[in-house]
Amino acid sequence: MLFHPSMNVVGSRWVYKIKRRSDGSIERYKACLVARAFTQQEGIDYSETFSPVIKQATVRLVFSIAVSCGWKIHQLDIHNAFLNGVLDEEVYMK
Amino acid sequence: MCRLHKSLYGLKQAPRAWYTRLNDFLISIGFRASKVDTLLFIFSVGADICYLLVYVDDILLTGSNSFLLQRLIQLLSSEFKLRDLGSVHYFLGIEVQSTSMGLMLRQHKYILDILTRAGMLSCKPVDTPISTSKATILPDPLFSDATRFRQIMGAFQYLTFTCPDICFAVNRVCQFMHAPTDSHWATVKRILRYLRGTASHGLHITCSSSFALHGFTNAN
Repeated sequence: MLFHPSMNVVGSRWVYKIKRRSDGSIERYKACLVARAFTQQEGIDYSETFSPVIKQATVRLVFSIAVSCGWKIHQLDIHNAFLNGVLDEEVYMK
Repeated sequence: MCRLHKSLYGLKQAPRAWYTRLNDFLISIGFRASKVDTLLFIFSVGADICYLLVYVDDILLTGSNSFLLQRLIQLLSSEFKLRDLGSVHYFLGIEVQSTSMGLMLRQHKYILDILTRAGMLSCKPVDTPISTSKATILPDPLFSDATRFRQIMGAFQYLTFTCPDICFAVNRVCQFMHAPTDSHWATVKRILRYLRGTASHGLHITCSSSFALHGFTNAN
Protein backbone atom coordinates (compact mmCIF):
# COMPACT_ATOMS: atom_id res chain seq x y z
CA MET A 1 0.00 0.00 0.00
CA LEU A 2 1.28 3.47 -0.86
CA PHE A 3 2.06 5.90 1.88
CA HIS A 4 0.03 9.09 2.14
CA PRO A 5 1.03 11.87 4.56
CA SER A 6 -2.41 11.72 6.22
CA MET A 7 -1.75 8.17 7.39
CA ASN A 8 -0.26 7.63 10.78
CA VAL A 9 1.68 4.44 10.41
CA VAL A 10 2.12 2.24 13.44
CA GLY A 11 5.34 0.27 13.75
CA SER A 12 5.47 -3.39 14.60
CA ARG A 13 7.86 -5.92 15.96
CA TRP A 14 8.08 -9.62 16.66
CA VAL A 15 8.08 -10.77 20.25
CA TYR A 16 9.49 -14.21 20.98
CA LYS A 17 8.68 -16.03 24.14
CA ILE A 18 9.50 -19.41 25.55
CA LYS A 19 6.56 -20.97 27.33
CA ARG A 20 7.68 -23.24 30.09
CA ARG A 21 5.86 -25.84 32.12
CA SER A 22 5.77 -25.52 35.90
CA ASP A 23 8.80 -27.82 36.17
CA GLY A 24 10.86 -25.48 33.98
CA SER A 25 10.94 -27.65 30.85
CA ILE A 26 10.09 -25.99 27.56
CA GLU A 27 6.50 -26.42 26.40
CA ARG A 28 6.69 -24.43 23.17
CA TYR A 29 8.22 -21.41 21.51
CA LYS A 30 5.86 -18.54 20.84
CA ALA A 31 6.19 -15.77 18.30
CA CYS A 32 3.78 -12.85 18.31
CA LEU A 33 3.62 -9.87 15.97
CA VAL A 34 2.70 -6.85 18.07
CA ALA A 35 1.89 -3.26 17.20
CA ARG A 36 4.02 -0.49 18.65
CA ALA A 37 0.97 1.37 19.77
CA PHE A 38 2.68 4.17 21.65
CA THR A 39 2.64 6.12 18.38
CA GLN A 40 -1.13 5.77 18.09
CA GLN A 41 -3.06 9.00 18.56
CA GLU A 42 -6.51 9.22 20.03
CA GLY A 43 -9.11 10.44 17.51
CA ILE A 44 -6.92 9.43 14.56
CA ASP A 45 -5.93 5.82 15.10
CA TYR A 46 -8.52 4.92 17.69
CA SER A 47 -11.66 6.46 19.09
CA GLU A 48 -12.45 4.48 22.20
CA THR A 49 -10.62 2.02 24.39
CA PHE A 50 -11.88 -0.47 26.93
CA SER A 51 -10.30 -1.83 30.06
CA PRO A 52 -12.74 -3.91 32.05
CA VAL A 53 -12.51 -3.98 35.82
CA ILE A 54 -13.47 -7.04 37.78
CA LYS A 55 -16.27 -6.59 40.26
CA GLN A 56 -15.48 -8.97 43.08
CA ALA A 57 -19.12 -9.13 44.10
CA THR A 58 -20.21 -10.42 40.68
CA VAL A 59 -17.63 -13.20 40.61
CA ARG A 60 -18.40 -14.27 44.20
CA LEU A 61 -22.13 -14.17 43.46
CA VAL A 62 -21.80 -16.46 40.44
CA PHE A 63 -19.63 -18.88 42.43
CA SER A 64 -22.10 -18.80 45.28
CA ILE A 65 -25.16 -19.43 43.09
CA ALA A 66 -23.37 -22.30 41.31
CA VAL A 67 -22.40 -23.93 44.62
CA SER A 68 -25.85 -23.51 46.15
CA CYS A 69 -27.58 -24.98 43.10
CA GLY A 70 -24.96 -27.71 42.60
CA TRP A 71 -24.07 -26.55 39.08
CA LYS A 72 -20.81 -27.42 37.37
CA ILE A 73 -18.61 -24.43 36.51
CA HIS A 74 -16.89 -24.82 33.14
CA GLN A 75 -13.77 -22.91 32.33
CA LEU A 76 -13.02 -21.96 28.73
CA ASP A 77 -9.90 -20.39 27.36
CA ILE A 78 -10.01 -18.42 24.10
CA HIS A 79 -6.88 -18.69 21.96
CA ASN A 80 -5.35 -15.42 20.83
CA ALA A 81 -8.46 -13.53 21.89
CA PHE A 82 -7.33 -10.12 20.66
CA LEU A 83 -6.73 -11.38 17.12
CA ASN A 84 -10.48 -11.92 16.79
CA GLY A 85 -11.31 -8.23 17.08
CA VAL A 86 -12.51 -6.35 14.01
CA LEU A 87 -11.16 -2.84 13.53
CA ASP A 88 -13.53 0.02 12.76
CA GLU A 89 -10.74 2.54 12.34
CA GLU A 90 -8.18 2.70 9.54
CA VAL A 91 -4.94 1.45 11.02
CA TYR A 92 -1.77 1.16 8.95
CA MET A 93 1.25 -0.78 10.03
CA LYS A 94 4.74 -1.30 8.75
CA MET B 1 3.05 -1.10 4.76
CA CYS B 2 -0.41 -2.57 5.08
CA ARG B 3 -3.84 -1.72 6.37
CA LEU B 4 -5.06 -3.80 9.29
CA HIS B 5 -8.56 -5.24 9.19
CA LYS B 6 -8.30 -7.25 12.37
CA SER B 7 -6.73 -6.18 15.59
CA LEU B 8 -3.31 -7.14 16.90
CA TYR B 9 -1.85 -7.40 20.35
CA GLY B 10 -0.50 -4.02 21.35
CA LEU B 11 -3.02 -1.84 19.56
CA LYS B 12 -4.80 0.60 21.83
CA GLN B 13 -8.21 -0.51 20.61
CA ALA B 14 -7.46 -4.26 20.69
CA PRO B 15 -9.28 -4.95 24.00
CA ARG B 16 -12.33 -3.01 22.87
CA ALA B 17 -12.42 -4.61 19.41
CA TRP B 18 -12.30 -8.05 21.00
CA TYR B 19 -14.94 -7.26 23.60
CA THR B 20 -17.29 -5.83 20.94
CA ARG B 21 -16.87 -8.94 18.79
CA LEU B 22 -17.55 -11.29 21.71
CA ASN B 23 -20.44 -9.18 22.98
CA ASP B 24 -22.12 -9.15 19.53
CA PHE B 25 -21.72 -12.89 19.18
CA LEU B 26 -23.10 -13.68 22.63
CA ILE B 27 -26.11 -11.43 22.01
CA SER B 28 -26.68 -13.12 18.62
CA ILE B 29 -26.94 -16.57 20.22
CA GLY B 30 -29.42 -15.39 22.84
CA PHE B 31 -27.43 -14.09 25.77
CA ARG B 32 -28.26 -10.77 27.30
CA ALA B 33 -25.69 -8.50 28.87
CA SER B 34 -26.03 -7.73 32.55
CA LYS B 35 -26.96 -4.13 33.25
CA VAL B 36 -24.68 -3.87 36.27
CA ASP B 37 -21.52 -5.61 35.13
CA THR B 38 -19.94 -5.73 31.66
CA LEU B 39 -18.31 -9.06 32.53
CA LEU B 40 -21.56 -10.93 33.07
CA PHE B 41 -23.89 -12.39 30.43
CA ILE B 42 -27.12 -14.21 31.15
CA PHE B 43 -28.90 -16.79 29.05
CA SER B 44 -32.38 -17.83 30.08
CA VAL B 45 -34.82 -20.09 28.33
CA GLY B 46 -37.92 -21.44 30.07
CA ALA B 47 -36.90 -22.43 33.59
CA ASP B 48 -33.24 -22.83 32.67
CA ILE B 49 -30.62 -20.18 33.24
CA CYS B 50 -26.90 -19.90 32.45
CA TYR B 51 -24.35 -17.36 33.55
CA LEU B 52 -21.23 -16.52 31.59
CA LEU B 53 -18.41 -14.52 33.16
CA VAL B 54 -15.72 -13.22 30.87
CA TYR B 55 -12.46 -11.48 31.60
CA VAL B 56 -10.52 -10.88 28.36
CA ASP B 57 -9.85 -14.48 27.28
CA ASP B 58 -10.88 -16.25 30.46
CA ILE B 59 -14.45 -17.50 30.47
CA LEU B 60 -16.52 -19.19 33.16
CA LEU B 61 -19.82 -20.76 32.23
CA THR B 62 -22.30 -22.26 34.65
CA GLY B 63 -26.00 -23.01 34.62
CA SER B 64 -28.90 -25.18 35.56
CA ASN B 65 -28.91 -27.48 32.51
CA SER B 66 -25.81 -29.42 31.50
CA PHE B 67 -27.11 -30.14 27.98
CA LEU B 68 -27.69 -26.45 27.45
CA LEU B 69 -24.16 -25.72 28.71
CA GLN B 70 -22.66 -28.22 26.26
CA ARG B 71 -24.68 -26.66 23.45
CA LEU B 72 -23.44 -23.17 24.35
CA ILE B 73 -19.83 -24.37 24.51
CA GLN B 74 -20.29 -25.92 21.04
CA LEU B 75 -21.67 -22.64 19.70
CA LEU B 76 -18.77 -20.68 21.18
CA SER B 77 -16.17 -23.05 19.79
CA SER B 78 -17.74 -22.86 16.33
CA GLU B 79 -17.07 -19.11 16.40
CA PHE B 80 -13.78 -18.87 18.29
CA LYS B 81 -10.81 -21.15 18.72
CA LEU B 82 -11.06 -22.21 22.33
CA ARG B 83 -10.10 -24.85 24.81
CA ASP B 84 -12.51 -26.40 27.28
CA LEU B 85 -10.54 -26.71 30.50
CA GLY B 86 -13.29 -28.65 32.25
CA SER B 87 -14.05 -27.67 35.84
CA VAL B 88 -12.68 -24.37 37.02
CA HIS B 89 -9.27 -24.53 38.74
CA TYR B 90 -7.68 -21.14 38.26
CA PHE B 91 -9.58 -18.00 37.35
CA LEU B 92 -8.18 -14.44 37.45
CA GLY B 93 -5.23 -15.68 39.50
CA ILE B 94 -7.55 -17.26 42.05
CA GLU B 95 -7.09 -20.92 42.85
CA VAL B 96 -10.41 -22.73 42.95
CA GLN B 97 -10.65 -26.09 44.67
CA SER B 98 -13.83 -28.06 45.14
CA THR B 99 -14.52 -29.38 48.62
CA SER B 100 -17.24 -31.58 50.04
CA MET B 101 -19.07 -28.43 51.17
CA GLY B 102 -18.55 -26.23 48.15
CA LEU B 103 -15.63 -24.29 46.70
CA MET B 104 -12.45 -23.02 48.30
CA LEU B 105 -11.00 -19.85 46.77
CA ARG B 106 -7.37 -19.06 47.51
CA GLN B 107 -4.70 -16.64 46.31
CA HIS B 108 -1.81 -18.57 47.82
CA LYS B 109 0.58 -18.11 44.89
CA TYR B 110 -0.31 -14.43 44.60
CA ILE B 111 0.46 -13.88 48.30
CA LEU B 112 3.84 -15.60 47.93
CA ASP B 113 4.57 -13.39 44.90
CA ILE B 114 3.80 -10.24 46.88
CA LEU B 115 5.96 -11.42 49.79
CA THR B 116 8.81 -12.20 47.39
CA ARG B 117 8.51 -8.80 45.74
CA ALA B 118 8.55 -7.11 49.12
CA GLY B 119 11.53 -9.21 50.23
CA MET B 120 9.52 -10.55 53.17
CA LEU B 121 9.21 -14.21 52.24
CA SER B 122 11.05 -15.33 55.36
CA CYS B 123 9.56 -12.85 57.81
CA LYS B 124 8.10 -13.81 61.17
CA PRO B 125 4.30 -14.21 60.99
CA VAL B 126 1.95 -12.29 63.28
CA ASP B 127 -1.57 -13.23 64.31
CA THR B 128 -3.38 -10.00 63.50
CA PRO B 129 -3.22 -7.74 60.43
CA ILE B 130 -3.18 -4.43 62.30
CA SER B 131 -2.11 -3.16 65.70
CA THR B 132 -4.92 -2.37 68.13
CA SER B 133 -2.95 0.28 69.99
CA LYS B 134 -2.71 3.69 68.41
CA ALA B 135 0.85 4.52 67.42
CA THR B 136 2.08 7.93 68.54
CA ILE B 137 5.49 8.21 66.97
CA LEU B 138 6.17 11.85 66.29
CA PRO B 139 7.57 13.19 64.08
CA ASP B 140 6.78 10.76 61.30
CA PRO B 141 9.04 11.25 58.27
CA LEU B 142 7.84 10.52 54.74
CA PHE B 143 8.62 7.01 53.53
CA SER B 144 11.50 7.09 51.07
CA ASP B 145 10.03 4.82 48.38
CA ALA B 146 6.39 5.88 47.82
CA THR B 147 6.18 3.94 44.55
CA ARG B 148 6.99 0.68 46.28
CA PHE B 149 4.36 1.45 48.91
CA ARG B 150 1.74 2.09 46.21
CA GLN B 151 2.62 -1.06 44.27
CA ILE B 152 2.13 -3.22 47.32
CA MET B 153 -1.10 -1.44 48.22
CA GLY B 154 -2.37 -2.11 44.70
CA ALA B 155 -1.60 -5.79 45.14
CA PHE B 156 -3.42 -5.79 48.51
CA GLN B 157 -6.51 -4.36 46.86
CA TYR B 158 -6.76 -7.40 44.61
CA LEU B 159 -5.98 -9.71 47.50
CA THR B 160 -9.13 -8.65 49.33
CA PHE B 161 -10.92 -10.95 46.86
CA THR B 162 -10.21 -13.99 49.03
CA CYS B 163 -8.85 -12.25 52.14
CA PRO B 164 -11.66 -10.17 53.62
CA ASP B 165 -9.74 -10.29 56.93
CA ILE B 166 -7.23 -7.71 55.65
CA CYS B 167 -9.91 -5.34 54.27
CA PHE B 168 -9.94 -3.03 57.27
CA ALA B 169 -6.17 -2.75 57.55
CA VAL B 170 -5.79 -2.21 53.79
CA ASN B 171 -8.51 0.43 53.71
CA ARG B 172 -6.93 2.23 56.66
CA VAL B 173 -3.48 2.48 55.16
CA CYS B 174 -4.80 3.16 51.62
CA GLN B 175 -5.89 6.56 52.83
CA PHE B 176 -2.26 7.68 52.76
CA MET B 177 -1.36 6.69 49.21
CA HIS B 178 -0.46 10.27 48.29
CA ALA B 179 2.16 10.71 51.03
CA PRO B 180 3.03 7.54 52.92
CA THR B 181 5.20 7.88 56.02
CA ASP B 182 7.49 5.45 57.81
CA SER B 183 4.74 4.40 60.20
CA HIS B 184 2.41 3.67 57.26
CA TRP B 185 5.13 1.49 55.81
CA ALA B 186 5.36 -0.28 59.16
CA THR B 187 1.61 -0.95 58.92
CA VAL B 188 2.12 -2.43 55.44
CA LYS B 189 4.87 -4.68 56.79
CA ARG B 190 2.53 -5.78 59.56
CA ILE B 191 -0.05 -6.84 56.94
CA LEU B 192 2.67 -8.71 55.03
CA ARG B 193 3.70 -10.55 58.19
CA TYR B 194 0.06 -11.44 58.84
CA LEU B 195 -0.23 -12.78 55.26
CA ARG B 196 2.93 -14.84 55.76
CA GLY B 197 1.03 -16.78 58.42
CA THR B 198 -2.29 -17.00 56.56
CA ALA B 199 -1.11 -17.48 52.95
CA SER B 200 -2.84 -20.82 52.58
CA HIS B 201 -6.12 -19.57 54.03
CA GLY B 202 -8.95 -18.75 51.67
CA LEU B 203 -12.59 -18.02 51.19
CA HIS B 204 -14.83 -21.05 51.52
CA ILE B 205 -17.99 -20.72 49.48
CA THR B 206 -20.57 -23.09 50.84
CA CYS B 207 -24.05 -24.07 49.87
CA SER B 208 -26.67 -21.69 51.17
CA SER B 209 -30.19 -22.93 51.54
CA SER B 210 -31.90 -19.68 50.76
CA PHE B 211 -31.30 -16.76 48.42
CA ALA B 212 -33.08 -14.34 50.75
CA LEU B 213 -31.14 -11.13 51.20
CA HIS B 214 -30.38 -10.24 54.82
CA GLY B 215 -29.75 -6.68 55.85
CA PHE B 216 -27.82 -5.69 58.95
CA THR B 217 -27.58 -2.30 60.53
CA ASN B 218 -25.90 -0.73 63.49
CA ALA B 219 -27.71 2.21 65.04
CA ASN B 220 -26.20 4.26 67.82
